[in-house]
Amino acid sequence: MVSKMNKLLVLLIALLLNGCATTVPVHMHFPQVPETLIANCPVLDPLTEDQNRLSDLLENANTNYGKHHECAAKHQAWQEWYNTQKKIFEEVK
Amino acid sequence: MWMLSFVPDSFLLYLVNIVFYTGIVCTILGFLLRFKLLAQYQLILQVVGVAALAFGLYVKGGFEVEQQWRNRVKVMEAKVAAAEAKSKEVNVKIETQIVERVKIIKQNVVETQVKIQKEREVINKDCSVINPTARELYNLAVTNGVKDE
Repeated sequence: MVSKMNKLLVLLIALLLNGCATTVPVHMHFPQVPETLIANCPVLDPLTEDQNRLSDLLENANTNYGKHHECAAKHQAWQEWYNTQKKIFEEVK
Repeated sequence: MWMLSFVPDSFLLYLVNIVFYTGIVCTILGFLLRFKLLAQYQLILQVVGVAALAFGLYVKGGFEVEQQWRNRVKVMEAKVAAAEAKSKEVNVKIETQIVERVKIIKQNVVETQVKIQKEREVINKDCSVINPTARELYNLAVTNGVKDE
């Protein structure tokens, strides 16, 4: 008799606890950042031994500055992307 | 109550109404109207009526609350869908912008490169050769002090 009562009690508690279960059916996932923006910055080119003229130095500097500008532009775009997406994400409340 | 979310609205409403209106009818028959035909069932009608009415009222209230939640969920889903669409739009816009900017940067590098090559003679006229020490220091700056392994 006590055993049956215990089983019934367990069942009752399980059913009652069921009422406490909360489901959150609506989710919004933070979006994936575009691949272009998370690519690593290019490595700068050093001068090779056969590049020993001032024009070589300028060419090398020009190439490296270009790489820097590219990286800076991507970084800036990343910041813009994050701030905009964060704003959109926070607006959903 | 969360299990109710799996049951279709119309079916749930149908069940709730059956219990509720059965309760009303049984209560009226048991307490207010006195038919000779039902006299022997009066107590049963009263008990069933009150029980069904109380339960029906409780469940109807629960159903209304459930409906409110479902409506909120629908509103939220619409908001999320709109936000996701906007987010995708932003992704495309930013990606297009960056591709365009990188293209311009690369074009500018090429243009400068062409100018340097054109002026090569003038540039190299006075200054002679970059000595190894200068090259080493320059490379140190380029690699930020990190040497190749």
